[in-house]
Amino acid sequence: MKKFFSVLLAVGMHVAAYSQQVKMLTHIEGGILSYASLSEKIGYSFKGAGTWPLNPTVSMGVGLGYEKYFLKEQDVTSLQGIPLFAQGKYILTPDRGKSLYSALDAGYSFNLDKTEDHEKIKGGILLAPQLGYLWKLSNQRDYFSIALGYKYQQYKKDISPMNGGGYGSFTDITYNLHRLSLMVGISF
Amino acid sequence: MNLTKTFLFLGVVISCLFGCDKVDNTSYYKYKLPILEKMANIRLQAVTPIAPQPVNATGKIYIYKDYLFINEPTKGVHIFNNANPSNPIPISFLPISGNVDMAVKDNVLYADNHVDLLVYDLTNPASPSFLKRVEDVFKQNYVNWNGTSKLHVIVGYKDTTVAATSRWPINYDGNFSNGGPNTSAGGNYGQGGSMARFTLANDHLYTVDWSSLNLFDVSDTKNPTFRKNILLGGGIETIFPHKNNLFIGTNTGMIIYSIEDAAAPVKLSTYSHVRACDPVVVNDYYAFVTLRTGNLCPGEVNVLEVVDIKDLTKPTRVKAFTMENPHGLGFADDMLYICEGKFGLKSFDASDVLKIGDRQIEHFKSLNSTDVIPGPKSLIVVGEGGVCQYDYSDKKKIKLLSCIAVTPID
Repeated sequence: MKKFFSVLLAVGMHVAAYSQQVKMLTHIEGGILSYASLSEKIGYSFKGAGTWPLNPTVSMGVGLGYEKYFLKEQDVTSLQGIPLFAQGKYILTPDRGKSLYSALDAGYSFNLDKTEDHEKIKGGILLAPQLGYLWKLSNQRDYFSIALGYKYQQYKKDISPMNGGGYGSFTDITYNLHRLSLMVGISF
Repeated sequence: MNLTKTFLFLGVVISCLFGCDKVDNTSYYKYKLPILEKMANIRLQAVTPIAPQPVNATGKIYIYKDYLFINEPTKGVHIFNNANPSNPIPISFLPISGNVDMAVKDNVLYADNHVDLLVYDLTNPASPSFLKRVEDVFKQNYVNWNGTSKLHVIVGYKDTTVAATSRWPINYDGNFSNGGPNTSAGGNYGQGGSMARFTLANDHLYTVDWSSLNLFDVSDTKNPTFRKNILLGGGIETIFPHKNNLFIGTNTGMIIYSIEDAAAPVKLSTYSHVRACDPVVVNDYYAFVTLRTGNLCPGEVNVLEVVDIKDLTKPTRVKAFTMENPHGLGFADDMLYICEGKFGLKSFDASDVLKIGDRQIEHFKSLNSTDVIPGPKSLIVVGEGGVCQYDYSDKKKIKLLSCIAVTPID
């Protein structure tokens, strides 16, 4: 255990020292959220994240955004939310001008749709791995990116009796949304 | 570049695998499952008065002389000495299973006990003496549940959750119609509110159930006699007497009966409105009907309707005002007091019935209220939290006198 904490401390000190050397990177991206079949109605996503490099290849941060999904369900045809997430990013070859990278967003999205008292839509967890490609700008720090990803977003709807009396028919619905995402962005 | 293609290929494959939605749907029902008891066993229970008990819930209220009666739904009747509305004093409790309504005439209290009518002598309200049980006069309260014989009544409910696949045949929600009190006209009768289902007039006790009007001859006060049952149709909710007429609120309208011949009510007219719960009070010229939604009340409307009843055979709506969730109401001295449920109590200047909605005088937002009696000494308001009394001698500014708080059961 003592050895573990020693390693943890060393890593922490290394990260802290490195973070002081480099500034936070802001990444803004927008794109589409689609079913696998692009013929279906396409949703969209805009998000921004602030990330801090832990080392030249790995960075971590937090982000916020706005997203709208379109569904093929009869009761709900669209859902919109504000995702709040943590982001981890791995750049395969940070020392080159172009590189593959992967990213993972994990968090919770807050639903924005207006709901009735007896039909409440709530947000849910999100998970979004991405694989992308980046082109560094001349300053070798900022870059453009394009990424293809998978996005899992959960929303929940609780339907209670219209009479509000606490008795009757209840239904809990969980929408597990699986989407293909195509995002373009810029980091600076 | 091969690595790039591999990444992109894997991304597309993963996305396609998950490129659809999965919707999980869980349905269930929450019920209050009825607890049954044989009426024969209920009749063995003591119904004689006991010492004052904490008020655990409020139902209908009723006033007679200097006494205030508070129904605790399905449990019994709390009796208070209300000679001083600033300090009502509990004096006794009548443990009456299944009780939701009551009325008083000439020192005699009538109270329902599931399917029976109980009669008490109120000469000494601190210790009312039990006089008589009139059996099987509210037969609609018998239940035939899951094959049990029709000798059972519902004495309570227990919360039950069942899967969506197991539907109960009846959606019991445990509502005991615990609206407000009973209204009566005349000198030796007590006074109730707009949500009463019992009322006294012309030496008769009139009670309504879901579908009918029951008549009891109470000319021999201590020996009421069941006379007849008049079918009215479903959705009957309240009864309000005014002079020689009965105004019966239903969830689709108001039925007006003449009781010139008290033993033989004659239907004069039916005033129809949208489906909603609708207590009613009247004066000589107008009926004031509140329509509300929620709980067992269908529809999507919350209004106060003013109905011209100068010609009782042709009631005509003259105005409607939007309300929040109006329950019981009371009319006194050109003032209309409307209980708005969780939205509080409102008072309106009703001297011009066409402008009532524009003439709100006061709004007690924090006072959860379901019914009101403008009594001779105080304005009595009942709600979930208890029974509060106000000095309303100043119409513009009513003043709190006292509150009897509910002590919820843990």
